[in-house]
Amino acid sequence: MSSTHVHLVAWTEEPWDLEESLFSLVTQEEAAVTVSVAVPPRLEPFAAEACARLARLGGPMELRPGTPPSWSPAVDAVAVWVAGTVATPDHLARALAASGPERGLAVAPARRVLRRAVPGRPPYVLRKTRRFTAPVPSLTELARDPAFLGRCLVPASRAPRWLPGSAEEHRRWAAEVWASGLATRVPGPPSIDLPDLRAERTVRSLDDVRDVLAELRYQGPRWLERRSPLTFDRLRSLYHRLRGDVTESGRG
Amino acid sequence: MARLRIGIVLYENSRPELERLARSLAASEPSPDLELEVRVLDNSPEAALEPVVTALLGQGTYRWTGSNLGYGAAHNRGMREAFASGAGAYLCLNPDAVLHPRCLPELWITASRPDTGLVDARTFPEEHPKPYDPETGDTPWCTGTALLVRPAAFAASGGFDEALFMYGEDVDLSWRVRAAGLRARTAPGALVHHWVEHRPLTLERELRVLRSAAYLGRKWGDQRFAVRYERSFRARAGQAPELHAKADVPAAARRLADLSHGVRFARSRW
Repeated sequence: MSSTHVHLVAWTEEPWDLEESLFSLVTQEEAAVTVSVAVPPRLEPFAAEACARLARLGGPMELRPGTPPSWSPAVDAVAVWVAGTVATPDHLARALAASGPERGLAVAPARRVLRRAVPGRPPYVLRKTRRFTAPVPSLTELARDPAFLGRCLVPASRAPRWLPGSAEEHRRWAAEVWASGLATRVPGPPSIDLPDLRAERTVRSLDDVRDVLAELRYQGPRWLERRSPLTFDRLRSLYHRLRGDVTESGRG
Repeated sequence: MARLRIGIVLYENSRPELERLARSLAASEPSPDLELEVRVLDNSPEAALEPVVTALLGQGTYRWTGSNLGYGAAHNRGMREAFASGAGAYLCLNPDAVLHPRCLPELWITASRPDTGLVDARTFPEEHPKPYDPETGDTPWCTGTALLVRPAAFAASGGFDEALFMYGEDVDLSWRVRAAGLRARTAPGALVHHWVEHRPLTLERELRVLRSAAYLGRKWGDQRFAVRYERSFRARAGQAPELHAKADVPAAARRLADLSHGVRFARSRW
Protein backbone atom coordinates (compact mmCIF):
# COMPACT_ATOMS: atom_id res chain seq x y z
CA MET A 1 0.00 0.00 0.00
CA SER A 2 1.44 3.41 -0.98
CA SER A 3 1.99 5.89 1.81
CA THR A 4 1.20 9.58 1.85
CA HIS A 5 2.06 12.36 4.24
CA VAL A 6 -0.60 15.03 4.59
CA HIS A 7 0.28 18.30 6.28
CA LEU A 8 -2.91 19.90 7.57
CA VAL A 9 -2.75 23.63 8.20
CA ALA A 10 -5.46 25.64 9.94
CA TRP A 11 -5.61 29.28 8.88
CA THR A 12 -8.50 30.12 11.19
CA GLU A 13 -9.61 29.18 14.69
CA GLU A 14 -12.70 27.32 13.41
CA PRO A 15 -12.49 23.94 15.17
CA TRP A 16 -15.02 22.28 12.87
CA ASP A 17 -12.81 22.81 9.83
CA LEU A 18 -10.07 20.87 11.55
CA GLU A 19 -12.46 18.17 12.78
CA GLU A 20 -13.96 17.56 9.33
CA SER A 21 -10.60 17.46 7.56
CA LEU A 22 -9.28 14.98 10.11
CA PHE A 23 -12.41 12.82 9.83
CA SER A 24 -11.97 12.83 6.07
CA LEU A 25 -8.32 11.77 6.36
CA VAL A 26 -9.10 9.03 8.88
CA THR A 27 -11.67 7.53 6.51
CA GLN A 28 -9.36 7.37 3.47
CA GLU A 29 -9.31 3.91 1.94
CA GLU A 30 -6.47 1.97 0.31
CA ALA A 31 -3.87 4.47 1.46
CA ALA A 32 -1.51 4.54 4.44
CA VAL A 33 -1.46 8.10 5.71
CA THR A 34 0.54 10.07 8.23
CA VAL A 35 -0.87 13.47 9.13
CA SER A 36 0.90 16.41 10.73
CA VAL A 37 -1.31 19.20 12.03
CA ALA A 38 -0.28 22.86 12.32
CA VAL A 39 -2.81 25.15 14.00
CA PRO A 40 -2.92 28.57 15.66
CA PRO A 41 -1.88 28.35 19.36
CA ARG A 42 -5.46 28.72 20.66
CA LEU A 43 -6.51 25.67 18.64
CA GLU A 44 -3.67 23.42 19.81
CA PRO A 45 -5.50 21.73 22.74
CA PHE A 46 -8.50 21.11 20.48
CA ALA A 47 -6.25 19.67 17.75
CA ALA A 48 -4.66 17.25 20.22
CA GLU A 49 -8.11 16.14 21.44
CA ALA A 50 -9.45 15.74 17.90
CA CYS A 51 -6.45 13.65 16.86
CA ALA A 52 -6.86 11.37 19.89
CA ARG A 53 -10.62 11.12 19.34
CA LEU A 54 -10.38 10.21 15.66
CA ALA A 55 -7.41 7.87 16.05
CA ARG A 56 -9.82 5.57 17.91
CA LEU A 57 -11.54 4.85 14.59
CA GLY A 58 -8.42 2.90 13.60
CA GLY A 59 -7.20 2.32 10.09
CA PRO A 60 -3.73 2.81 8.60
CA MET A 61 -3.45 6.34 9.94
CA GLU A 62 -1.09 8.21 12.20
CA LEU A 63 -2.18 11.62 13.46
CA ARG A 64 0.43 13.95 14.90
CA PRO A 65 -0.42 17.40 16.24
CA GLY A 66 2.45 19.82 15.55
CA THR A 67 4.58 20.66 12.56
CA PRO A 68 7.45 18.28 11.85
CA PRO A 69 10.49 19.76 10.09
CA SER A 70 9.71 17.52 7.15
CA TRP A 71 8.17 14.13 6.34
CA SER A 72 9.57 10.64 6.62
CA PRO A 73 11.76 9.60 3.65
CA ALA A 74 9.66 6.42 3.39
CA VAL A 75 6.54 8.17 2.08
CA ASP A 76 5.62 8.01 -1.59
CA ALA A 77 3.74 11.29 -1.86
CA VAL A 78 2.98 14.51 -0.01
CA ALA A 79 -0.14 16.69 0.17
CA VAL A 80 -0.86 19.94 1.98
CA TRP A 81 -4.41 20.62 3.09
CA VAL A 82 -5.99 23.75 4.52
CA ALA A 83 -8.43 22.87 7.34
CA GLY A 84 -11.95 22.70 5.93
CA THR A 85 -10.82 20.57 3.00
CA VAL A 86 -12.79 17.34 2.72
CA ALA A 87 -12.21 14.46 0.31
CA THR A 88 -14.00 11.32 -0.78
CA PRO A 89 -12.53 8.12 0.75
CA ASP A 90 -10.92 7.15 -2.56
CA HIS A 91 -9.28 10.53 -3.10
CA LEU A 92 -5.73 9.68 -2.06
CA ALA A 93 -5.82 6.26 -3.71
CA ARG A 94 -7.04 7.78 -7.00
CA ALA A 95 -4.48 10.57 -6.83
CA LEU A 96 -1.68 8.11 -6.01
CA ALA A 97 -2.65 6.00 -9.02
CA ALA A 98 -2.46 9.07 -11.25
CA SER A 99 0.81 10.39 -9.85
CA GLY A 100 4.25 8.85 -9.49
CA PRO A 101 7.85 9.43 -10.56
CA GLU A 102 6.98 9.03 -14.25
CA ARG A 103 3.66 10.85 -14.36
CA GLY A 104 4.47 13.44 -11.75
CA LEU A 105 2.15 15.64 -9.78
CA ALA A 106 -1.55 14.72 -9.72
CA VAL A 107 -4.30 17.34 -9.49
CA ALA A 108 -7.72 16.09 -8.40
CA PRO A 109 -10.96 17.48 -9.83
CA ALA A 110 -12.52 19.63 -7.13
CA ARG A 111 -15.50 21.60 -5.94
CA ARG A 112 -15.53 24.92 -4.16
CA VAL A 113 -17.56 25.02 -0.98
CA LEU A 114 -19.04 28.31 0.11
CA ARG A 115 -19.91 28.28 3.81
CA ARG A 116 -21.38 30.61 6.37
CA ALA A 117 -19.93 30.67 9.87
CA VAL A 118 -22.39 29.74 12.64
CA PRO A 119 -21.21 30.54 16.19
CA GLY A 120 -20.69 27.38 18.23
CA ARG A 121 -21.78 25.12 15.39
CA PRO A 122 -20.27 23.78 12.18
CA PRO A 123 -20.25 26.21 9.24
CA TYR A 124 -23.41 25.98 7.14
CA VAL A 125 -22.73 24.97 3.55
CA LEU A 126 -24.45 27.38 1.19
CA ARG A 127 -23.35 25.78 -2.07
CA LYS A 128 -20.83 23.56 -3.75
CA THR A 129 -19.73 24.28 -7.28
CA ARG A 130 -17.63 22.28 -9.70
CA ARG A 131 -14.36 23.66 -10.92
CA PHE A 132 -13.00 23.26 -14.41
CA THR A 133 -9.73 21.31 -14.46
CA ALA A 134 -7.54 21.29 -17.56
CA PRO A 135 -5.90 17.96 -18.57
CA VAL A 136 -2.56 19.60 -17.74
CA PRO A 137 -3.48 22.04 -14.96
CA SER A 138 -1.42 25.18 -14.64
CA LEU A 139 -0.54 26.79 -11.34
CA THR A 140 -2.31 29.98 -12.42
CA GLU A 141 -5.53 28.05 -13.02
CA LEU A 142 -5.35 26.37 -9.62
CA ALA A 143 -4.04 29.19 -7.45
CA ARG A 144 -7.25 31.21 -7.77
CA ASP A 145 -8.30 29.15 -4.74
CA PRO A 146 -6.16 29.89 -1.67
CA ALA A 147 -6.66 26.27 -0.49
CA PHE A 148 -5.67 24.82 -3.88
CA LEU A 149 -2.78 22.68 -2.60
CA GLY A 150 -5.32 20.23 -1.16
CA ARG A 151 -6.04 19.14 -4.73
CA CYS A 152 -2.42 18.28 -5.41
CA LEU A 153 -0.61 15.07 -4.59
CA VAL A 154 3.11 15.51 -5.10
CA PRO A 155 5.50 12.54 -5.49
CA ALA A 156 7.96 12.73 -2.60
CA SER A 157 10.84 12.96 -5.07
CA ARG A 158 9.42 16.23 -6.43
CA ALA A 159 8.19 17.83 -3.22
CA PRO A 160 10.23 20.62 -1.62
CA ARG A 161 11.73 19.38 1.67
CA TRP A 162 9.93 21.98 3.76
CA LEU A 163 6.29 22.31 4.75
CA PRO A 164 4.35 25.49 4.00
CA GLY A 165 2.20 27.37 6.50
CA SER A 166 0.84 30.69 5.28
CA ALA A 167 -1.00 31.25 2.00
CA GLU A 168 2.07 32.93 0.59
CA GLU A 169 4.20 29.90 1.52
CA HIS A 170 1.65 27.63 -0.15
CA ARG A 171 2.12 29.52 -3.44
CA ARG A 172 5.91 29.45 -3.10
CA TRP A 173 5.89 25.71 -2.32
CA ALA A 174 3.65 25.08 -5.32
CA ALA A 175 5.87 27.20 -7.59
CA GLU A 176 8.81 24.96 -6.67
CA VAL A 177 6.75 21.87 -7.48
CA TRP A 178 5.57 23.20 -10.85
CA ALA A 179 9.11 24.25 -11.72
CA SER A 180 10.15 20.59 -11.53
CA GLY A 181 7.67 19.32 -14.14
CA LEU A 182 4.11 19.24 -15.38
CA ALA A 183 0.94 18.26 -13.57
CA THR A 184 -1.70 15.69 -14.57
CA ARG A 185 -5.43 15.79 -13.89
CA VAL A 186 -6.78 12.80 -11.93
CA PRO A 187 -9.49 11.19 -14.07
CA GLY A 188 -13.06 10.87 -12.82
CA PRO A 189 -15.50 13.00 -10.84
CA PRO A 190 -14.46 15.54 -8.18
CA SER A 191 -12.85 13.86 -5.20
CA ILE A 192 -12.12 16.87 -3.05
CA ASP A 193 -14.02 19.87 -1.69
CA LEU A 194 -12.04 23.03 -0.99
CA PRO A 195 -13.30 25.75 1.33
CA ASP A 196 -13.95 28.80 -0.81
CA LEU A 197 -11.57 31.30 0.77
CA ARG A 198 -11.38 33.70 -2.16
CA ALA A 199 -11.69 37.38 -1.33
CA GLU A 200 -13.02 38.12 -4.84
CA ARG A 201 -15.72 35.91 -6.37
CA THR A 202 -16.68 37.73 -9.55
CA VAL A 203 -15.96 36.25 -12.97
CA ARG A 204 -12.75 37.88 -14.12
CA SER A 205 -10.89 35.43 -16.31
CA LEU A 206 -11.42 32.71 -18.89
CA ASP A 207 -10.75 30.16 -16.14
CA ASP A 208 -13.66 31.63 -14.15
CA VAL A 209 -15.92 31.25 -17.21
CA ARG A 210 -14.79 27.62 -17.56
CA ASP A 211 -15.74 27.04 -13.91
CA VAL A 212 -19.22 28.39 -14.56
CA LEU A 213 -19.60 26.15 -17.63
CA ALA A 214 -18.36 23.10 -15.70
CA GLU A 215 -21.04 23.72 -13.08
CA LEU A 216 -23.76 24.22 -15.71
CA ARG A 217 -22.72 21.03 -17.47
CA TYR A 218 -23.21 19.16 -14.21
CA GLN A 219 -26.42 20.86 -13.03
CA GLY A 220 -28.20 20.89 -16.42
CA PRO A 221 -28.91 17.15 -16.61
CA ARG A 222 -29.92 17.09 -12.96
CA TRP A 223 -32.40 19.90 -13.54
CA LEU A 224 -33.88 17.93 -16.45
CA GLU A 225 -34.01 14.77 -14.34
CA ARG A 226 -36.10 16.57 -11.72
CA ARG A 227 -38.35 18.25 -14.28
CA SER A 228 -38.90 15.26 -16.57
CA PRO A 229 -37.36 11.95 -15.51
CA LEU A 230 -38.66 10.17 -18.61
CA THR A 231 -37.09 12.65 -21.06
CA PHE A 232 -33.90 12.55 -19.04
CA ASP A 233 -33.88 8.77 -19.15
CA ARG A 234 -34.40 8.69 -22.94
CA LEU A 235 -31.67 11.26 -23.59
CA ARG A 236 -29.32 9.41 -21.26
CA SER A 237 -29.97 6.11 -23.08
CA LEU A 238 -29.40 7.80 -26.44
CA TYR A 239 -26.18 9.37 -25.19
CA HIS A 240 -24.82 6.06 -23.98
CA ARG A 241 -25.91 4.22 -27.14
CA LEU A 242 -24.04 6.81 -29.23
CA ARG A 243 -20.97 6.32 -27.04
CA GLY A 244 -21.31 2.55 -27.34
CA ASP A 245 -21.60 2.06 -23.55
CA VAL A 246 -23.48 -1.06 -22.51
CA THR A 247 -23.72 -2.28 -18.94
CA GLU A 248 -25.25 -5.34 -17.35
CA SER A 249 -28.31 -3.38 -16.30
CA GLY A 250 -28.82 -2.12 -19.83
CA ARG A 251 -28.10 1.46 -18.86
CA GLY A 252 -25.02 3.49 -19.39
CA MET B 1 -30.71 8.60 32.55
CA ALA B 2 -32.27 8.01 29.13
CA ARG B 3 -31.66 4.90 27.08
CA LEU B 4 -30.85 5.09 23.36
CA ARG B 5 -31.34 1.88 21.45
CA ILE B 6 -29.30 1.68 18.27
CA GLY B 7 -31.06 -0.48 15.69
CA ILE B 8 -29.09 -1.89 12.76
CA VAL B 9 -30.78 -3.80 9.95
CA LEU B 10 -28.54 -6.16 7.99
CA TYR B 11 -28.79 -7.89 4.66
CA GLU B 12 -25.79 -10.04 3.77
CA ASN B 13 -23.27 -7.41 4.90
CA SER B 14 -19.55 -8.05 4.80
CA ARG B 15 -17.44 -8.62 7.89
CA PRO B 16 -15.09 -5.65 7.20
CA GLU B 17 -18.11 -3.36 6.94
CA LEU B 18 -19.46 -4.55 10.28
CA GLU B 19 -16.02 -4.29 11.87
CA ARG B 20 -15.79 -0.66 10.77
CA LEU B 21 -19.22 0.08 12.21
CA ALA B 22 -18.45 -1.73 15.47
CA ARG B 23 -15.17 0.18 15.81
CA SER B 24 -16.99 3.47 15.42
CA LEU B 25 -19.61 2.47 18.00
CA ALA B 26 -16.82 1.56 20.43
CA ALA B 27 -15.14 4.92 19.75
CA SER B 28 -18.31 6.91 20.47
CA GLU B 29 -17.93 9.46 23.23
CA PRO B 30 -20.20 8.83 26.19
CA SER B 31 -22.97 11.23 27.06
CA PRO B 32 -23.48 11.69 30.83
CA ASP B 33 -27.26 11.32 30.58
CA LEU B 34 -27.44 8.64 27.91
CA GLU B 35 -27.12 4.88 28.09
CA LEU B 36 -26.52 3.01 24.83
CA GLU B 37 -27.64 -0.42 23.72
CA VAL B 38 -27.36 -2.07 20.32
CA ARG B 39 -29.74 -4.46 18.59
CA VAL B 40 -29.16 -5.98 15.18
CA LEU B 41 -31.97 -7.34 13.03
CA ASP B 42 -30.76 -9.50 10.19
CA ASN B 43 -32.95 -9.70 7.08
CA SER B 44 -30.52 -12.07 5.30
CA PRO B 45 -31.78 -15.43 3.93
CA GLU B 46 -29.74 -17.25 6.62
CA ALA B 47 -28.49 -16.41 10.08
CA ALA B 48 -24.88 -16.63 8.93
CA LEU B 49 -23.90 -13.29 10.43
CA GLU B 50 -24.80 -14.26 13.99
CA PRO B 51 -21.26 -15.25 15.08
CA VAL B 52 -19.79 -12.13 13.46
CA VAL B 53 -22.25 -9.78 15.13
CA THR B 54 -21.97 -11.52 18.48
CA ALA B 55 -18.17 -11.31 18.37
CA LEU B 56 -18.22 -7.63 17.42
CA LEU B 57 -21.17 -6.27 19.38
CA GLY B 58 -21.75 -8.77 22.17
CA GLN B 59 -24.12 -11.55 23.23
CA GLY B 60 -27.82 -10.88 22.79
CA THR B 61 -27.45 -8.15 20.19
CA TYR B 62 -28.30 -10.32 17.17
CA ARG B 63 -31.67 -11.47 15.90
CA TRP B 64 -32.48 -13.09 12.55
CA THR B 65 -35.83 -11.93 11.15
CA GLY B 66 -36.32 -15.04 8.97
CA SER B 67 -37.08 -13.13 5.78
CA ASN B 68 -36.25 -9.88 4.07
CA LEU B 69 -38.72 -7.53 5.74
CA GLY B 70 -37.18 -4.43 4.18
CA TYR B 71 -35.60 -1.48 5.97
CA GLY B 72 -38.76 0.14 7.30
CA ALA B 73 -40.57 -2.98 8.53
CA ALA B 74 -37.48 -4.27 10.33
CA HIS B 75 -36.90 -0.95 12.06
CA ASN B 76 -40.60 -0.76 12.99
CA ARG B 77 -40.18 -4.09 14.77
CA GLY B 78 -37.07 -2.73 16.51
CA MET B 79 -38.81 0.50 17.53
CA ARG B 80 -41.89 -1.27 18.91
CA GLU B 81 -39.68 -3.40 21.14
CA ALA B 82 -37.41 -0.51 22.15
CA PHE B 83 -40.21 1.86 23.12
CA ALA B 84 -42.18 -0.89 24.86
CA SER B 85 -39.11 -1.43 27.05
CA GLY B 86 -38.91 2.26 27.92
CA ALA B 87 -36.18 3.49 25.55
CA GLY B 88 -35.98 7.26 25.30
CA ALA B 89 -34.98 7.13 21.64
CA TYR B 90 -34.24 4.71 18.82
CA LEU B 91 -31.50 5.24 16.27
CA CYS B 92 -31.97 3.70 12.84
CA LEU B 93 -28.38 3.18 11.76
CA ASN B 94 -27.18 1.91 8.40
CA PRO B 95 -24.66 -0.93 8.64
CA ASP B 96 -22.39 0.72 6.05
CA ALA B 97 -22.06 3.88 8.14
CA VAL B 98 -19.22 5.02 10.39
CA LEU B 99 -20.19 7.27 13.28
CA HIS B 100 -17.98 10.20 14.16
CA PRO B 101 -17.08 9.80 17.87
CA ARG B 102 -19.20 12.88 18.73
CA CYS B 103 -22.18 11.83 16.59
CA LEU B 104 -24.33 10.20 19.26
CA PRO B 105 -23.96 12.95 21.92
CA GLU B 106 -24.68 15.60 19.27
CA LEU B 107 -27.79 13.74 18.08
CA TRP B 108 -28.99 13.47 21.65
CA ILE B 109 -28.46 17.19 22.36
CA THR B 110 -30.69 18.06 19.39
CA ALA B 111 -33.20 15.34 20.25
CA SER B 112 -33.57 16.83 23.73
CA ARG B 113 -34.98 20.09 22.36
CA PRO B 114 -38.74 20.47 22.88
CA ASP B 115 -41.08 19.15 20.20
CA THR B 116 -38.37 17.16 18.45
CA GLY B 117 -39.69 14.02 16.78
CA LEU B 118 -36.84 13.06 14.46
CA VAL B 119 -33.17 13.99 14.21
CA ASP B 120 -30.78 13.07 11.45
CA ALA B 121 -27.01 13.21 11.38
CA ARG B 122 -25.16 15.06 8.62
CA THR B 123 -23.87 12.56 6.08
CA PHE B 124 -20.16 12.81 5.37
CA PRO B 125 -18.14 13.42 3.23
CA GLU B 126 -21.07 14.15 0.89
CA GLU B 127 -23.61 16.04 2.95
CA HIS B 128 -27.19 15.73 1.73
CA PRO B 129 -28.00 18.96 -0.11
CA LYS B 130 -31.42 19.43 1.52
CA PRO B 131 -31.47 22.58 3.64
CA TYR B 132 -31.69 22.90 7.41
CA ASP B 133 -31.90 25.89 9.69
CA PRO B 134 -28.36 26.28 11.12
CA GLU B 135 -29.75 27.71 14.38
CA THR B 136 -32.72 25.44 15.13
CA GLY B 137 -31.82 22.44 12.96
CA ASP B 138 -35.32 22.39 11.44
CA THR B 139 -35.29 20.52 8.14
CA PRO B 140 -37.99 19.46 5.65
CA TRP B 141 -37.17 15.78 6.12
CA CYS B 142 -34.62 13.56 7.82
CA THR B 143 -32.40 11.07 6.05
CA GLY B 144 -32.41 7.46 7.22
CA THR B 145 -28.65 6.82 7.41
CA ALA B 146 -28.50 7.72 11.10
CA LEU B 147 -32.01 8.70 12.10
CA LEU B 148 -32.99 9.19 15.71
CA VAL B 149 -36.68 8.66 16.50
CA ARG B 150 -38.28 9.86 19.73
CA PRO B 151 -41.13 7.82 21.28
CA ALA B 152 -43.65 10.59 20.57
CA ALA B 153 -42.80 10.47 16.86
CA PHE B 154 -43.29 6.71 16.77
CA ALA B 155 -46.56 6.95 18.69
CA ALA B 156 -47.87 9.66 16.38
CA SER B 157 -46.82 8.00 13.12
CA GLY B 158 -46.73 4.26 13.77
CA GLY B 159 -43.25 4.22 12.26
CA PHE B 160 -42.24 3.68 8.67
CA ASP B 161 -44.78 2.94 5.95
CA GLU B 162 -44.06 -0.74 5.30
CA ALA B 163 -45.35 -0.54 1.73
CA LEU B 164 -42.12 1.30 0.93
CA PHE B 165 -39.59 -1.51 0.73
CA MET B 166 -36.59 0.73 0.25
CA TYR B 167 -36.04 4.44 -0.52
CA GLY B 168 -38.40 7.25 0.39
CA GLU B 169 -39.58 5.78 3.70
CA ASP B 170 -37.56 8.38 5.62
CA VAL B 171 -39.17 11.20 3.62
CA ASP B 172 -42.66 9.83 4.21
CA LEU B 173 -42.04 9.33 7.94
CA SER B 174 -40.67 12.87 8.28
CA TRP B 175 -43.71 14.41 6.63
CA ARG B 176 -46.09 12.40 8.81
CA VAL B 177 -44.20 13.26 11.99
CA ARG B 178 -44.24 16.94 11.06
CA ALA B 179 -47.95 16.69 10.24
CA ALA B 180 -48.44 15.44 13.81
CA GLY B 181 -46.95 18.69 15.11
CA LEU B 182 -43.42 17.47 15.89
CA ARG B 183 -40.16 18.76 14.44
CA ALA B 184 -37.77 17.06 12.06
CA ARG B 185 -34.28 18.34 12.78
CA THR B 186 -30.72 17.96 11.61
CA ALA B 187 -27.97 17.88 14.24
CA PRO B 188 -25.24 19.86 12.45
CA GLY B 189 -22.52 18.59 14.76
CA ALA B 190 -23.45 14.93 14.29
CA LEU B 191 -21.42 13.49 11.43
CA VAL B 192 -21.97 10.06 9.99
CA HIS B 193 -19.62 8.77 7.35
CA HIS B 194 -21.70 7.20 4.59
CA TRP B 195 -20.21 7.15 1.17
CA VAL B 196 -22.45 5.75 -1.53
CA GLU B 197 -21.79 8.06 -4.47
CA HIS B 198 -19.29 5.62 -5.98
CA ARG B 199 -21.75 2.74 -6.07
CA PRO B 200 -23.10 1.87 -9.52
CA LEU B 201 -26.76 2.68 -10.05
CA THR B 202 -28.12 -0.77 -10.85
CA LEU B 203 -31.43 -1.22 -12.62
CA GLU B 204 -32.87 -2.85 -9.50
CA ARG B 205 -31.95 0.12 -7.32
CA GLU B 206 -33.17 2.61 -9.89
CA LEU B 207 -36.54 0.85 -10.15
CA ARG B 208 -36.91 0.91 -6.37
CA VAL B 209 -36.31 4.66 -6.34
CA LEU B 210 -38.82 5.22 -9.17
CA ARG B 211 -41.43 2.99 -7.56
CA SER B 212 -41.05 4.74 -4.20
CA ALA B 213 -41.38 8.14 -5.91
CA ALA B 214 -44.57 7.08 -7.71
CA TYR B 215 -45.93 5.67 -4.45
CA LEU B 216 -45.22 8.89 -2.55
CA GLY B 217 -46.90 10.89 -5.31
CA ARG B 218 -50.07 8.78 -5.02
CA LYS B 219 -50.05 8.74 -1.25
CA TRP B 220 -49.50 12.46 -0.83
CA GLY B 221 -52.02 13.42 -3.48
CA ASP B 222 -49.83 14.66 -6.34
CA GLN B 223 -51.04 12.67 -9.33
CA ARG B 224 -48.79 14.47 -11.83
CA PHE B 225 -45.72 13.57 -9.81
CA ALA B 226 -46.89 9.96 -9.49
CA VAL B 227 -47.61 9.60 -13.22
CA ARG B 228 -44.23 11.09 -14.12
CA TYR B 229 -42.39 8.42 -12.13
CA GLU B 230 -44.74 5.61 -13.12
CA ARG B 231 -43.97 6.39 -16.76
CA SER B 232 -40.28 6.41 -16.02
CA PHE B 233 -40.60 3.08 -14.20
CA ARG B 234 -42.52 1.58 -17.14
CA ALA B 235 -39.90 2.79 -19.59
CA ARG B 236 -37.14 1.11 -17.58
CA ALA B 237 -38.95 -2.07 -16.46
CA GLY B 238 -41.32 -2.63 -19.39
CA GLN B 239 -44.29 -2.81 -17.01
CA ALA B 240 -46.13 -0.56 -14.58
CA PRO B 241 -45.08 -0.61 -10.92
CA GLU B 242 -47.33 -2.40 -8.47
CA LEU B 243 -48.60 0.32 -6.20
CA HIS B 244 -51.10 -0.05 -3.42
CA ALA B 245 -50.96 3.55 -2.32
CA LYS B 246 -54.07 5.32 -1.22
CA ALA B 247 -54.25 9.08 -1.12
CA ASP B 248 -55.07 8.82 2.56
CA VAL B 249 -53.11 11.76 3.87
CA PRO B 250 -55.37 14.55 5.18
CA ALA B 251 -55.44 17.59 2.92
CA ALA B 252 -54.04 19.81 5.68
CA ALA B 253 -50.95 17.59 5.96
CA ARG B 254 -50.30 17.51 2.22
CA ARG B 255 -48.87 21.00 2.24
CA LEU B 256 -45.83 19.56 4.04
CA ALA B 257 -45.02 17.26 1.13
CA ASP B 258 -42.58 18.92 -1.23
CA LEU B 259 -42.84 17.12 -4.55
CA SER B 260 -41.61 20.04 -6.63
CA HIS B 261 -37.93 19.04 -6.52
CA GLY B 262 -38.06 15.54 -7.96
CA VAL B 263 -36.75 12.77 -5.75
CA ARG B 264 -34.75 15.20 -3.63
CA PHE B 265 -38.01 16.22 -1.90
CA ALA B 266 -36.64 19.62 -0.91
CA ARG B 267 -34.81 22.59 -2.34
CA SER B 268 -31.23 21.63 -3.05
CA ARG B 269 -28.37 23.77 -1.80
CA TRP B 270 -26.19 22.46 -4.62
